[in-house]
Amino acid sequence: MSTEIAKREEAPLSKVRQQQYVRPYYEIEDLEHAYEVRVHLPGVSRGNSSVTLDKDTLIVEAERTTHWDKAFRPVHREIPEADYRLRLQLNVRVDEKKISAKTVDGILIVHLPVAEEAKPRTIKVK
Amino acid sequence: MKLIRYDNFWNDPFEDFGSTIRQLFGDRYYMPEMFSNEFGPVLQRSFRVDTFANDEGYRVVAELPGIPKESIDVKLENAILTISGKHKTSEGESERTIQFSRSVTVGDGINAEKVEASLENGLLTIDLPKVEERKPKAITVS
Repeated sequence: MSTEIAKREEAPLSKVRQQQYVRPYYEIEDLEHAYEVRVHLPGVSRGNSSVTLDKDTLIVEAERTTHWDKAFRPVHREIPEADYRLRLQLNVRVDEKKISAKTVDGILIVHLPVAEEAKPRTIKVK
Repeated sequence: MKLIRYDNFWNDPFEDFGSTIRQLFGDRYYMPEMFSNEFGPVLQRSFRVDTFANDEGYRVVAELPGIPKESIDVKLENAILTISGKHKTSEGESERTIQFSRSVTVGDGINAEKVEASLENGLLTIDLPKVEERKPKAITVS
């Protein structure tokens, strides 16, 4: 009888870190013929966020650029380390060619102009 | 028309709570400070704060997106660091004021002269170095 214990091939633990996201706080402002979505993204520097419009879904993704300085030990933590992701299903047709976005003081402002065909129209009664 | 079809997650679960209370009980029982998330002329905003420490001192990081540095007031008094401020924003025709305040106990022995604060990408970082006497020292046994 063999007393040797069968060696088992140890599968290396996956080194891929599971990507985690937090949903940022946002505000929507109703302008004339446009909407403005303001996404609060503290800790994200300019150029590290992206805005995508996939059919009727607006996707905002941002990578946190400010991380915990390892020279310090945490005493009390509230701010998450995860990146931001926001998905919003739009109810209004927007003019995708005219969408613009800018970052001001950690807030991403996305300007969404309403598409021509979705604007209210007055029909003259003959 | 609303821009968002539906929100599949609670962006702000108490957003409409204030108006529900007002509908049910009228203005008499409505205290705005109870449901500060309600959109109004004065908005009380809460913010997240991280506290770090090492032998040299403390570091306090606060999330304050959209607030310019002129509107932020940082005060250190009796080992308590207070971050507060008031910021007026105008959105179209409506104007509103955002008010915020939070205090963090940082312990004494801080060199108040060398406290530094910086604001970048909506993150306020305050460095509070300890006074020389409070820093740990290694003593060699002779």
